[in-house]
Amino acid sequence: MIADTRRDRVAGAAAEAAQGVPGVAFLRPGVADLLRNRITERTPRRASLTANRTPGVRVGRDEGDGWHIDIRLVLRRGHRALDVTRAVRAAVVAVLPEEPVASLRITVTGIV
Amino acid sequence: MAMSADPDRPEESRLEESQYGESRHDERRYEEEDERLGCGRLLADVWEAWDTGRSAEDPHFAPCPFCSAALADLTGLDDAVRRTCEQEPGTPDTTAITARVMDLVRLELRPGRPLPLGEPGEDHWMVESAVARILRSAVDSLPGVRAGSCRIAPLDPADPTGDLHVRVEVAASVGRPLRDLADAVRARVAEVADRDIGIRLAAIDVLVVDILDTVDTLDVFYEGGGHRVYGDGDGEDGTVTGGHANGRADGHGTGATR
Repeated sequence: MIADTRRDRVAGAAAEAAQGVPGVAFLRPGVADLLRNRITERTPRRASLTANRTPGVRVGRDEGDGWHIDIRLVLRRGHRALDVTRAVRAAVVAVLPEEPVASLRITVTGIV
Repeated sequence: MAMSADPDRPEESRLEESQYGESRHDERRYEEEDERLGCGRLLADVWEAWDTGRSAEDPHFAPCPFCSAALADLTGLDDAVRRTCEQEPGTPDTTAITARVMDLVRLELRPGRPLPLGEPGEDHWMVESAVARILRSAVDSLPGVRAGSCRIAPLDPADPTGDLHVRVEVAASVGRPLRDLADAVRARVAEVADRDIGIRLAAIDVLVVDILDTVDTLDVFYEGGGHRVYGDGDGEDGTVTGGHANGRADGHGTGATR
Protein backbone atom coordinates (compact mmCIF):
# COMPACT_ATOMS: atom_id res chain seq x y z
CA MET A 1 0.00 0.00 0.00
CA ILE A 2 2.88 2.34 0.72
CA ALA A 3 4.24 1.78 -2.76
CA ASP A 4 0.82 2.49 -4.23
CA THR A 5 0.53 5.70 -2.28
CA ARG A 6 3.91 6.81 -3.51
CA ARG A 7 3.02 5.85 -7.04
CA ASP A 8 -0.19 7.87 -6.75
CA ARG A 9 1.79 10.85 -5.51
CA VAL A 10 4.17 10.64 -8.45
CA ALA A 11 1.27 10.28 -10.89
CA GLY A 12 -0.63 13.14 -9.31
CA ALA A 13 2.37 15.46 -9.34
CA ALA A 14 3.16 14.57 -12.95
CA ALA A 15 -0.46 15.12 -14.00
CA GLU A 16 -0.67 18.47 -12.28
CA ALA A 17 2.62 19.63 -13.78
CA ALA A 18 1.63 18.50 -17.28
CA GLN A 19 -1.78 20.08 -17.07
CA GLY A 20 -0.24 23.43 -16.20
CA VAL A 21 1.83 23.62 -19.39
CA PRO A 22 0.48 26.09 -21.98
CA GLY A 23 -0.74 24.17 -25.02
CA VAL A 24 -1.99 21.18 -23.03
CA ALA A 25 -5.79 21.08 -23.41
CA PHE A 26 -6.25 18.06 -21.12
CA LEU A 27 -4.75 14.71 -20.30
CA ARG A 28 -6.34 11.86 -22.15
CA PRO A 29 -7.47 8.71 -20.37
CA GLY A 30 -6.63 5.33 -21.86
CA VAL A 31 -8.92 2.34 -22.24
CA ALA A 32 -8.41 1.11 -18.69
CA ASP A 33 -9.02 4.57 -17.25
CA LEU A 34 -12.19 5.05 -19.26
CA LEU A 35 -13.51 1.68 -18.26
CA ARG A 36 -12.62 2.23 -14.62
CA ASN A 37 -14.40 5.56 -14.67
CA ARG A 38 -17.49 4.00 -16.23
CA ILE A 39 -17.52 1.29 -13.58
CA THR A 40 -17.03 3.89 -10.88
CA GLU A 41 -20.04 5.79 -12.13
CA ARG A 42 -22.13 2.68 -11.75
CA THR A 43 -20.83 1.73 -8.34
CA PRO A 44 -20.28 4.95 -6.38
CA ARG A 45 -19.62 3.19 -3.09
CA ARG A 46 -16.50 1.59 -4.50
CA ALA A 47 -15.23 4.74 -6.10
CA SER A 48 -12.24 4.98 -3.83
CA LEU A 49 -11.15 1.48 -4.79
CA THR A 50 -11.47 1.70 -8.53
CA ALA A 51 -11.13 5.30 -9.64
CA ASN A 52 -7.94 6.43 -11.26
CA ARG A 53 -7.36 9.93 -10.02
CA THR A 54 -4.89 10.71 -12.76
CA PRO A 55 -6.36 9.64 -16.09
CA GLY A 56 -3.85 10.21 -18.86
CA VAL A 57 -0.88 9.41 -16.65
CA ARG A 58 0.44 5.90 -16.13
CA VAL A 59 3.22 5.23 -13.69
CA GLY A 60 5.14 1.99 -13.28
CA ARG A 61 8.31 0.94 -11.57
CA ASP A 62 10.73 -1.90 -12.06
CA GLU A 63 12.84 -3.50 -9.36
CA GLY A 64 15.87 -1.35 -8.62
CA ASP A 65 14.91 0.99 -11.41
CA GLY A 66 13.26 4.39 -11.44
CA TRP A 67 9.75 5.38 -12.35
CA HIS A 68 8.41 4.81 -15.84
CA ILE A 69 5.95 7.59 -16.54
CA ASP A 70 3.63 7.63 -19.55
CA ILE A 71 1.65 10.79 -20.22
CA ARG A 72 -1.03 11.11 -22.91
CA LEU A 73 -2.34 14.55 -23.68
CA VAL A 74 -4.51 16.45 -26.08
CA LEU A 75 -2.90 19.49 -27.66
CA ARG A 76 -4.51 22.88 -27.94
CA ARG A 77 -4.51 24.15 -31.52
CA GLY A 78 -1.97 26.88 -32.27
CA HIS A 79 0.81 25.36 -30.18
CA ARG A 80 3.76 23.48 -31.69
CA ALA A 81 3.43 19.87 -30.57
CA LEU A 82 7.12 19.27 -29.93
CA ASP A 83 7.54 22.48 -27.92
CA VAL A 84 4.62 21.45 -25.72
CA THR A 85 5.87 17.90 -25.11
CA ARG A 86 9.33 19.22 -24.24
CA ALA A 87 7.80 21.75 -21.85
CA VAL A 88 5.73 18.96 -20.27
CA ARG A 89 8.84 16.88 -19.78
CA ALA A 90 10.68 19.77 -18.15
CA ALA A 91 7.70 20.53 -15.90
CA VAL A 92 7.28 16.93 -14.78
CA VAL A 93 10.97 16.41 -14.06
CA ALA A 94 11.01 19.69 -12.12
CA VAL A 95 8.23 18.61 -9.73
CA LEU A 96 9.85 15.24 -9.00
CA PRO A 97 13.34 16.28 -7.87
CA GLU A 98 13.59 13.47 -5.31
CA GLU A 99 12.20 10.74 -7.53
CA PRO A 100 14.30 8.66 -9.92
CA VAL A 101 12.61 8.94 -13.32
CA ALA A 102 13.89 6.13 -15.55
CA SER A 103 11.72 6.98 -18.52
CA LEU A 104 9.19 9.64 -19.39
CA ARG A 105 7.10 9.06 -22.49
CA ILE A 106 4.82 11.84 -23.72
CA THR A 107 2.25 11.21 -26.45
CA VAL A 108 -0.02 13.74 -28.12
CA THR A 109 -3.19 11.78 -28.81
CA GLY A 110 -5.36 14.51 -30.23
CA ILE A 111 -5.79 18.18 -30.96
CA VAL A 112 -8.62 20.56 -30.09
CA MET B 1 -23.39 8.42 -25.82
CA ALA B 2 -20.73 10.48 -24.13
CA MET B 3 -17.92 8.73 -25.96
CA SER B 4 -19.05 9.88 -29.37
CA ALA B 5 -18.94 13.50 -28.26
CA ASP B 6 -15.29 13.28 -27.28
CA PRO B 7 -13.47 16.22 -28.88
CA ASP B 8 -10.47 14.00 -29.25
CA ARG B 9 -12.31 11.69 -31.59
CA PRO B 10 -10.44 11.48 -34.86
CA GLU B 11 -12.31 12.51 -37.96
CA GLU B 12 -9.92 10.96 -40.41
CA SER B 13 -11.76 7.98 -41.75
CA ARG B 14 -15.16 9.67 -41.77
CA LEU B 15 -13.82 12.45 -43.98
CA GLU B 16 -11.94 10.07 -46.17
CA GLU B 17 -15.01 8.01 -46.82
CA SER B 18 -17.26 10.96 -47.50
CA GLN B 19 -14.85 12.78 -49.76
CA TYR B 20 -13.24 10.13 -51.79
CA GLY B 21 -14.71 6.75 -51.01
CA GLU B 22 -11.35 5.03 -50.83
CA SER B 23 -11.14 1.84 -52.79
CA ARG B 24 -11.61 -1.45 -51.04
CA HIS B 25 -8.06 -2.29 -51.93
CA ASP B 26 -6.76 0.67 -49.94
CA GLU B 27 -9.04 0.05 -46.99
CA ARG B 28 -7.87 -3.52 -46.75
CA ARG B 29 -4.25 -2.46 -46.90
CA TYR B 30 -4.71 0.17 -44.18
CA GLU B 31 -6.49 -2.27 -41.91
CA GLU B 32 -3.59 -4.63 -42.23
CA GLU B 33 -1.18 -1.81 -41.40
CA ASP B 34 -3.17 -0.76 -38.34
CA GLU B 35 -3.02 -4.20 -36.81
CA ARG B 36 0.76 -4.10 -36.77
CA LEU B 37 2.45 -2.44 -33.82
CA GLY B 38 5.33 -0.02 -34.25
CA CYS B 39 7.83 -2.78 -33.49
CA GLY B 40 6.52 -4.92 -36.35
CA ARG B 41 4.60 -7.42 -34.22
CA LEU B 42 0.96 -8.01 -34.97
CA LEU B 43 -1.35 -6.88 -32.19
CA ALA B 44 -3.25 -10.16 -32.45
CA ASP B 45 -0.02 -12.14 -31.92
CA VAL B 46 0.88 -10.06 -28.88
CA TRP B 47 -2.54 -10.62 -27.34
CA GLU B 48 -2.41 -14.32 -28.13
CA ALA B 49 1.00 -14.61 -26.52
CA TRP B 50 -0.43 -13.04 -23.39
CA ASP B 51 -3.53 -15.26 -23.39
CA THR B 52 -1.46 -18.41 -23.72
CA GLY B 53 1.12 -17.28 -21.16
CA ARG B 54 3.97 -17.09 -23.65
CA SER B 55 4.61 -13.37 -23.28
CA ALA B 56 6.93 -13.89 -20.29
CA GLU B 57 9.11 -16.31 -22.27
CA ASP B 58 9.67 -14.01 -25.23
CA PRO B 59 12.50 -11.57 -24.46
CA HIS B 60 11.08 -9.10 -26.95
CA PHE B 61 8.01 -8.08 -24.94
CA ALA B 62 9.37 -6.54 -21.74
CA PRO B 63 11.75 -3.96 -23.26
CA CYS B 64 9.52 -3.20 -26.28
CA PRO B 65 7.51 -0.01 -25.66
CA PHE B 66 4.85 -0.94 -28.22
CA CYS B 67 4.19 -4.44 -26.90
CA SER B 68 4.33 -3.24 -23.29
CA ALA B 69 1.75 -0.55 -23.97
CA ALA B 70 -0.52 -3.00 -25.81
CA LEU B 71 -0.27 -5.53 -22.99
CA ALA B 72 -0.80 -2.88 -20.31
CA ASP B 73 -4.02 -1.81 -22.01
CA LEU B 74 -5.12 -5.41 -22.41
CA THR B 75 -4.50 -6.37 -18.78
CA GLY B 76 -6.13 -3.15 -17.58
CA LEU B 77 -9.17 -3.94 -19.69
CA ASP B 78 -9.21 -7.51 -18.46
CA ASP B 79 -9.11 -6.43 -14.82
CA ALA B 80 -11.84 -3.86 -15.30
CA VAL B 81 -14.16 -6.30 -17.04
CA ARG B 82 -13.60 -8.90 -14.35
CA ARG B 83 -14.46 -6.33 -11.68
CA THR B 84 -17.61 -5.37 -13.57
CA CYS B 85 -18.69 -9.00 -13.67
CA GLU B 86 -18.00 -9.45 -9.96
CA GLN B 87 -20.05 -6.38 -9.13
CA GLU B 88 -23.03 -7.33 -11.30
CA PRO B 89 -25.63 -9.28 -9.34
CA GLY B 90 -26.58 -12.53 -11.08
CA THR B 91 -25.64 -13.17 -14.69
CA PRO B 92 -23.80 -10.23 -16.23
CA ASP B 93 -25.42 -8.56 -19.21
CA THR B 94 -22.83 -9.54 -21.79
CA THR B 95 -24.35 -7.45 -24.55
CA ALA B 96 -24.05 -4.27 -22.51
CA ILE B 97 -20.53 -5.11 -21.40
CA THR B 98 -19.44 -5.94 -24.93
CA ALA B 99 -20.92 -2.73 -26.31
CA ARG B 100 -19.24 -0.68 -23.62
CA VAL B 101 -15.88 -2.33 -24.08
CA MET B 102 -15.99 -2.01 -27.86
CA ASP B 103 -16.82 1.70 -27.65
CA LEU B 104 -13.77 2.25 -25.51
CA VAL B 105 -11.52 0.04 -27.59
CA ARG B 106 -12.55 1.85 -30.76
CA LEU B 107 -11.85 5.19 -29.15
CA GLU B 108 -8.43 3.98 -28.09
CA LEU B 109 -7.47 2.32 -31.35
CA ARG B 110 -8.73 4.90 -33.81
CA PRO B 111 -5.99 7.50 -33.31
CA GLY B 112 -3.58 5.27 -35.20
CA ARG B 113 0.08 4.68 -34.77
CA PRO B 114 2.31 6.94 -32.66
CA LEU B 115 4.79 8.96 -34.72
CA PRO B 116 8.06 10.25 -33.28
CA LEU B 117 8.31 13.93 -32.39
CA GLY B 118 11.72 15.61 -32.19
CA GLU B 119 14.91 13.60 -32.06
CA PRO B 120 14.96 9.78 -32.03
CA GLY B 121 15.90 9.41 -28.35
CA GLU B 122 13.37 11.85 -26.95
CA ASP B 123 10.44 9.48 -26.43
CA HIS B 124 7.94 12.12 -27.52
CA TRP B 125 5.12 10.97 -29.81
CA MET B 126 2.05 12.15 -31.64
CA VAL B 127 -0.62 9.84 -33.00
CA GLU B 128 -1.09 9.69 -36.75
CA SER B 129 -4.65 11.02 -36.80
CA ALA B 130 -3.66 14.21 -34.97
CA VAL B 131 -0.70 14.80 -37.30
CA ALA B 132 -2.90 14.07 -40.32
CA ARG B 133 -5.49 16.54 -39.16
CA ILE B 134 -2.93 19.37 -39.02
CA LEU B 135 -1.38 18.45 -42.39
CA ARG B 136 -4.76 18.19 -44.11
CA SER B 137 -5.79 21.55 -42.76
CA ALA B 138 -2.53 23.04 -44.04
CA VAL B 139 -3.08 21.59 -47.51
CA ASP B 140 -6.67 22.85 -47.54
CA SER B 141 -5.39 26.38 -46.99
CA LEU B 142 -3.71 26.31 -50.41
CA PRO B 143 -5.78 27.78 -53.25
CA GLY B 144 -7.39 25.24 -55.54
CA VAL B 145 -6.54 22.20 -53.42
CA ARG B 146 -8.57 20.02 -51.08
CA ALA B 147 -6.88 17.38 -48.97
CA GLY B 148 -8.24 13.87 -48.82
CA SER B 149 -6.64 10.85 -47.24
CA CYS B 150 -3.40 11.57 -45.42
CA ARG B 151 -1.25 8.74 -44.13
CA ILE B 152 1.98 9.15 -42.22
CA ALA B 153 4.32 6.30 -41.29
CA PRO B 154 8.00 5.71 -40.64
CA LEU B 155 9.87 5.47 -43.95
CA ASP B 156 11.60 2.38 -42.60
CA PRO B 157 8.99 0.17 -40.88
CA ALA B 158 11.77 -1.46 -38.88
CA ASP B 159 12.68 1.88 -37.30
CA PRO B 160 9.63 3.39 -35.58
CA THR B 161 11.67 6.38 -34.37
CA GLY B 162 13.05 7.17 -37.84
CA ASP B 163 12.13 9.83 -40.37
CA LEU B 164 8.60 9.78 -41.71
CA HIS B 165 6.93 9.24 -45.06
CA VAL B 166 3.80 11.26 -45.83
CA ARG B 167 1.30 10.19 -48.48
CA VAL B 168 -1.42 12.75 -49.08
CA GLU B 169 -4.23 12.55 -51.61
CA VAL B 170 -5.68 15.77 -52.95
CA ALA B 171 -8.42 17.03 -55.21
CA ALA B 172 -7.19 19.91 -57.34
CA SER B 173 -8.48 22.56 -59.69
CA VAL B 174 -7.69 22.04 -63.35
CA GLY B 175 -5.75 24.70 -65.19
CA ARG B 176 -2.62 24.41 -63.12
CA PRO B 177 0.19 21.99 -63.96
CA LEU B 178 -0.16 19.06 -61.61
CA ARG B 179 3.56 18.96 -61.00
CA ASP B 180 3.55 22.57 -59.78
CA LEU B 181 0.57 21.85 -57.63
CA ALA B 182 2.21 18.77 -56.12
CA ASP B 183 5.35 20.81 -55.40
CA ALA B 184 3.26 23.45 -53.63
CA VAL B 185 1.50 20.82 -51.54
CA ARG B 186 4.81 19.21 -50.66
CA ALA B 187 6.34 22.53 -49.64
CA ARG B 188 3.33 23.36 -47.48
CA VAL B 189 3.38 19.96 -45.76
CA ALA B 190 7.11 20.22 -45.09
CA GLU B 191 6.74 23.72 -43.67
CA VAL B 192 3.89 22.86 -41.30
CA ALA B 193 5.44 19.55 -40.22
CA ASP B 194 8.45 21.44 -38.93
CA ARG B 195 6.92 24.73 -37.79
CA ASP B 196 3.67 23.55 -36.20
CA ILE B 197 4.36 19.94 -35.21
CA GLY B 198 8.03 19.02 -34.90
CA ILE B 199 8.17 15.78 -36.89
CA ARG B 200 11.03 14.78 -39.19
CA LEU B 201 9.99 14.02 -42.77
CA ALA B 202 12.00 11.98 -45.24
CA ALA B 203 9.55 11.92 -48.13
CA ILE B 204 6.22 13.39 -49.15
CA ASP B 205 4.15 11.77 -51.88
CA VAL B 206 1.27 13.77 -53.33
CA LEU B 207 -1.43 11.93 -55.26
CA VAL B 208 -3.93 13.97 -57.22
CA VAL B 209 -6.99 11.75 -57.18
CA ASP B 210 -9.78 14.10 -58.19
CA ILE B 211 -10.57 17.47 -59.75
CA LEU B 212 -12.35 20.37 -58.11
CA ASP B 213 -13.46 22.64 -60.95
CA THR B 214 -17.14 23.05 -61.79
CA VAL B 215 -17.86 21.52 -58.45
CA ASP B 216 -21.63 21.84 -58.69
CA THR B 217 -21.81 19.98 -61.96
CA LEU B 218 -19.44 17.29 -60.75
CA ASP B 219 -21.33 16.83 -57.50
CA VAL B 220 -24.46 16.13 -59.47
CA PHE B 221 -22.48 13.85 -61.72
CA TYR B 222 -21.04 11.94 -58.76
CA GLU B 223 -24.38 11.52 -57.07
CA GLY B 224 -26.04 10.39 -60.26
CA GLY B 225 -23.27 8.19 -61.56
CA GLY B 226 -21.85 6.96 -58.28
CA HIS B 227 -18.26 7.06 -59.47
CA ARG B 228 -15.35 9.41 -59.96
CA VAL B 229 -13.91 10.95 -63.06
CA TYR B 230 -10.49 9.64 -62.17
CA GLY B 231 -9.56 6.60 -60.18
CA ASP B 232 -12.54 4.56 -61.18
CA GLY B 233 -10.47 1.42 -61.32
CA ASP B 234 -8.61 -0.20 -58.48
CA GLY B 235 -7.48 3.05 -56.87
CA GLU B 236 -3.75 2.73 -57.31
CA ASP B 237 -3.63 2.71 -61.07
CA GLY B 238 -6.50 5.05 -61.67
CA THR B 239 -4.98 8.04 -59.90
CA VAL B 240 -3.06 10.88 -61.40
CA THR B 241 0.18 10.99 -59.49
CA GLY B 242 1.55 14.47 -59.39
CA GLY B 243 4.04 13.84 -56.64
CA HIS B 244 6.51 11.56 -58.34
CA ALA B 245 8.77 14.28 -59.59
CA ASN B 246 11.63 12.07 -60.58
CA GLY B 247 9.52 9.35 -62.05
CA ARG B 248 10.42 6.64 -59.57
CA ALA B 249 7.65 4.20 -59.06
CA ASP B 250 8.53 2.85 -55.63
CA GLY B 251 6.61 5.56 -53.82
CA HIS B 252 9.54 6.42 -51.58
CA GLY B 253 12.05 9.19 -51.87
CA THR B 254 10.18 11.00 -54.58
CA GLY B 255 9.60 14.10 -52.56
CA ALA B 256 12.50 14.33 -50.17
CA THR B 257 12.30 17.50 -48.18
CA ARG B 258 15.76 17.54 -46.75
